[in-house]
Amino acid sequence: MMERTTESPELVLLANDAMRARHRPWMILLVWAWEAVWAFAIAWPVGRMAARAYGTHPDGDGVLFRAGALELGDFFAYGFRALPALVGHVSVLAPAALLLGLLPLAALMASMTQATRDRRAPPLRQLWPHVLGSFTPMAGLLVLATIAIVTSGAAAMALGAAVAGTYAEGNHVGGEPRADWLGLGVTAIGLLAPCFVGILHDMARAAVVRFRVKTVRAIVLAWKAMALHPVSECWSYVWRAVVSWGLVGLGALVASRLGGRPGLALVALLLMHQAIVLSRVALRASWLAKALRSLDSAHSNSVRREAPITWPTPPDKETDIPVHSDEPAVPIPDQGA
Amino acid sequence: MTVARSLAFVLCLGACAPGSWPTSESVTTETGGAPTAENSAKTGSAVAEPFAADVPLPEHAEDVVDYTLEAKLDPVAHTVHGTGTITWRNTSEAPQSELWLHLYLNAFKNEKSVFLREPVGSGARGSTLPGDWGYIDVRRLALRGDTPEGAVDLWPQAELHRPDDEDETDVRVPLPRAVAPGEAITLEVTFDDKLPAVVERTGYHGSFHMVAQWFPKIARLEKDGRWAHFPFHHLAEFYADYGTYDVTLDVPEAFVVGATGTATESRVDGGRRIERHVQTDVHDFAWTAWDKFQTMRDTIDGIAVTLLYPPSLEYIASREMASLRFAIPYFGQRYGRYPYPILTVVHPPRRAQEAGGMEYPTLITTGASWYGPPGIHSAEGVTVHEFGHEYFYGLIGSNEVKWPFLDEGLNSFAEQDTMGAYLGPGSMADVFDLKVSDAATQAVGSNYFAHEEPVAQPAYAFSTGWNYGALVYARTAAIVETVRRVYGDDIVRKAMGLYARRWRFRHPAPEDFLACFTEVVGPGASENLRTALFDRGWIDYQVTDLASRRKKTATGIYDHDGRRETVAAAAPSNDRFDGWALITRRGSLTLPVDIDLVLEDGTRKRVHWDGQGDDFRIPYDGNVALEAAVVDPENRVLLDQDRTNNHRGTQASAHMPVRTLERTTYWTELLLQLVAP
Repeated sequence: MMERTTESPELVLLANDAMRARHRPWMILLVWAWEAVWAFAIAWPVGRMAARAYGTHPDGDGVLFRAGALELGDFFAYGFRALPALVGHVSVLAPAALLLGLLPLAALMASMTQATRDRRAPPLRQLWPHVLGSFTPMAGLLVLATIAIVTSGAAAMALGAAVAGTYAEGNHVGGEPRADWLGLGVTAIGLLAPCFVGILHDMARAAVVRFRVKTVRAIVLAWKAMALHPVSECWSYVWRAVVSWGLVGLGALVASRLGGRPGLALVALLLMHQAIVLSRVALRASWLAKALRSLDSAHSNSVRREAPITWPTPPDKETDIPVHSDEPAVPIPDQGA
Repeated sequence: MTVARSLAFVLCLGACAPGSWPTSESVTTETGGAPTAENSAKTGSAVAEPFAADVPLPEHAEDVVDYTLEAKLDPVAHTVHGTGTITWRNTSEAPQSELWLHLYLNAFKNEKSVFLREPVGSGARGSTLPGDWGYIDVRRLALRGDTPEGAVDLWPQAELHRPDDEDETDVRVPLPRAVAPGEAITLEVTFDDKLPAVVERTGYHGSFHMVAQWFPKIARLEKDGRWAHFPFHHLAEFYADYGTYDVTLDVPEAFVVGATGTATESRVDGGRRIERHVQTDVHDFAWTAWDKFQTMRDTIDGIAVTLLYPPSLEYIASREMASLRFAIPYFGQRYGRYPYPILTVVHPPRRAQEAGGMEYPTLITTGASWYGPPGIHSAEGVTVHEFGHEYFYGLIGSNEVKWPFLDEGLNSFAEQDTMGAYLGPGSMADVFDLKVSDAATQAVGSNYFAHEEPVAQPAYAFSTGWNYGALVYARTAAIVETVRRVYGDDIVRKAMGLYARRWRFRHPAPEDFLACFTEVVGPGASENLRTALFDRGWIDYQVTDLASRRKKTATGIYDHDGRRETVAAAAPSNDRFDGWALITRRGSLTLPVDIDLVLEDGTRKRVHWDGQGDDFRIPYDGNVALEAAVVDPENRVLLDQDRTNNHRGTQASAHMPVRTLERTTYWTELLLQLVAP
């Protein structure tokens, strides 16, 4: 049985095994479209600058791809004058994209945890209250995770640089390469910390969506879930990340072959690039589904799995997990899981 | 037609010189003219290479000053004790009653040195204080005499600095008697150096020592009897007479030595390594010593090349050596053979990288990260540039302080030319099919600075290090490269080759350089060079207007053969089109240029404009509609201030920048995925 039927008038929570990204292709497409629209909006001024500079050139912006890069250099020099405006544009849109991107993400995760009573993907209008309710705790998680990632990442790099510098200063065997490799190794080990924070961040997001808890409680739940199977959780994240960035590398190789060619080559490049982005969204959705399952499993003993989802309903008095004041809680009476 | 375009059209009608309107013949073919070198080069006709046959290379420089020195390094105290003799000959036409000595190590003695107090702006090389001060103390400077008293110590009378200045890099030494033209004197000298922590070109880091500007050096005496002496300016380099250096170096046994000149003697004595280096026909001597140096050797074009580099940097050292395998014969072909039997290349350790990227006779320093990917050609670029200085500094001994463009600028041109020949359009970077050329980088980078200051001025006259770098290096390179592209590779190669050969072992000035271009390329090219170098010359071509329409019968009232005829408006032709392109030239340079008329069916029609006048109108009449015009389609005029106005199309021909939008959107998507949820 893929889904549990409930008495809910609208949506039901899905069983652990049923929380799969592949069951929600339209939501994946929606997230991809969301990202594409924001990216296009951010990139638009650069396109306008190219149109202004080379729009009426017989070769169009193909001149920017000529060997030697004279026109490309000119374009950057030309664009340099527009840099303040461009920075202003990006500095408004990028944070907005960052923050508002939590909405489709929450929608994606919410849709993977629930279904209509006739086992179909929940429509967005039914997810919307859940998504809105998740926004604030997810934003809190985003801020905390960003601080933790930047801090730990900077510390890792500083430590690596210090080790490399100390080794090089001592004129030890292996010279500069060995010193740099040593520094790089230390940095790489140090960067496991921000990677771990990133994984924990996603698990906490899953907790917010799955259990509709607040920021701190989500972190606690995520931590406990990760503590049960840390290697498994990390591996689930890592292999998808490796595949995901491998696709980007492959795309870069193909793009370098196609160069600035117009026509079919350009169409092929566009399709390939968007296929890569879509695949990355799908891989991410797959990882988030895994995170949701892990959270669900970790706290299965304490969850009334067939709890109906209804909005709005009063908070469940049985739960000891903090819940959104305006949303119902999925009861999790035992926190020892 | 917009209001602005109409206005431009009307203004142009009034401003166009009659001669700038082309005849129908000149629309379809390049303009003709007398078969001058300038014209023949433009059409690509071969120019016989003059080189060895026409301009024989001098074998030796005029021997003005000979140094015979012994130097002992203490690698712990970072000191050098030196002693020896300097034999100097008055080759000027005037008797000399004083000598000028350069003690350039004193540039790092205190913050009141000219070097350290000159405001060159942040980012300029050597703009931080040295981590450890450096200086030179002259203990004795005695004039050998033929009197029974022996040598006369001149140092007590030396004027170490001017009364209102504490810089001690430019010292005046009165002589007890005037030295007549042609007369030689010998000075006995004893000095002690304290090397600075590597700050710029010289100093130590750990046990690595780069020892340059380390001995009392006599300034150059010009033929007219005036001394060309300078304090050590921050942005300036050097200028000296040629002579013979015979230097015996004494370092700890474990140290590997690299130095100017051939090692004629090498032995180990009492735990010390003694090496004697002798070189004629050079104007400086530098050396390095480090107990960690690795050595790579090769013989290139008969020259023994030794590359000294830090441990485990074989990969980058092999790339540097490979670039020399190309550059040494290439420079030899372009500028005459390299005359010395040896070349030493020093790759300093990373912590001493301030010593990298510098030139001395038969010894250059380079530098790059060991992990530089193969597509990033900084190791090759620096090495080729510094080797080029063996010509534009070493063999052509121009005044680097007064006319830095003659060494750094011309050498930057030679570097980009060599790198282009060596690595093609990706001569600076070739990564993921993005090919960035050295020449394009220099051109784009320097255009921004074109109006700031003249290129041809003393190094110390530049207001900032940025201006100095952009104008002296990049702008000069872009100027000469533009001349090469406009007038032809063969002919500019010939002019540069003539200059390099004619002025080998001599001290040319800018006029000597320009004279070679006047002689070989023509007065037009030379005048453009002069304007660009001395008068902030600039140029900007623009397609100001483009008209394209179906051809119509001319309407109106006509009196023909006594009959009045009224021609009414008729439907435009479906198979004839007319129009024009209006090209304007702004700026003080007058460079010939090609213009492509691009027709609707994609065919192109090339027109040549000699660049005279302010504008050039190209009428069009044909059976295909005119779609666009492109000025300088082959990017010959690198000095063009704004290439984005070098084309104009009809509105119908406007393209969406789909490639740019596609890529920037994709990259933004990836970036958002990286930082966003």
